[in-house]
Amino acid sequence: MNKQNHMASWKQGIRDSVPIGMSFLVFGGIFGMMALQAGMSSGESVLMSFFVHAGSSQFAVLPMLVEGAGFWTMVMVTFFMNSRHLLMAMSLAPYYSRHNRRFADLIAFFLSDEQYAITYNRIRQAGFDKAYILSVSIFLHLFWALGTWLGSLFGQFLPDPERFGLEFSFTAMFLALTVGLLTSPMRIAVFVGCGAVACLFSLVADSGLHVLGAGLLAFAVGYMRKPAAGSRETEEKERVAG
Amino acid sequence: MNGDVRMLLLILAMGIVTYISRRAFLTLPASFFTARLKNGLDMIPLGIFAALIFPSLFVKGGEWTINPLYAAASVVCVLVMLRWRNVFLGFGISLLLVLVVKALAAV
Repeated sequence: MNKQNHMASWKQGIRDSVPIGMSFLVFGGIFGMMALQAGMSSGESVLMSFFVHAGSSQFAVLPMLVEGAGFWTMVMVTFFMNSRHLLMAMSLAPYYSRHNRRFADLIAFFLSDEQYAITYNRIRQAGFDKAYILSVSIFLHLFWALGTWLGSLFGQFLPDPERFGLEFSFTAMFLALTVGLLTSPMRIAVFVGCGAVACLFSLVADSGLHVLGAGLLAFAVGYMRKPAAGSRETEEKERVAG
Repeated sequence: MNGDVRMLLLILAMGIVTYISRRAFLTLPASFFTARLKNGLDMIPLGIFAALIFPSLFVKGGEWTINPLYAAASVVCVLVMLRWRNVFLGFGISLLLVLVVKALAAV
């Protein structure tokens, strides 16, 4: 890729990450403020946002810290809440496996729900663009860490996201990115069905596992279906079957 | 264990298990990808996004609920996306709708 394209990809990545980055600033800020109340220092909460970079599990650990939960309990909760990333990563594997492993080693550090949504959309539409992926990854990451830092300093001035409806920003972005994936009645059915199952799961326990459950269900539906006609494997099987 | 050291170790351990969950399957050997498996993998984002969207609209505090404003804004988001196929517009217009209605309601 020439230098000009490279720059264009970087700029596009920044443009695409700024809207959700703004929400990251606010929600990172709320994390910073709550972490302070849970007894973490400003530096510790920023370190956590930078090195863990997993919003839901970071929030989940705060009340556990206050209650004096066990060390490994908190680590296990983090793993279970992030276990959905096992599946997200697997759905990206056909693309990342074609490139060098060091790039995957690096990007895995940045893989969040939002980074996944934005980059997956781009990979499907415009192909695998390393500069773009890196740009989105770094900017979302920095917004989250910066938000945490600001929140731990000026938390008392933060708006209440529920009052302003900012929490809807995540729903809006995931929804906007999903519409392009709903290309057949079958895919719409999988989307709505998994949504219903996820709601049922999250009624029982709000632990993040409903995302893993819905992802597994979608995978199973896709796996059970006959491979798309015309794909090489189908043709081979048909030839063997005579 | 000293509290500060414990916190740093906690951050480190949380970071490691999170990284493992993100890296483990990000690359897989080419022979791994059968047509069936690819079909399955192709569906995963639909399940994941559904689980990130639907409960935020219909479940709160372990109970069924519906937030009419968020539901209406979601419909607007889908319509805008179907018409213009522009993520920025779909995201922006639906979020703006929520922010404006909330701001007006607060007055």
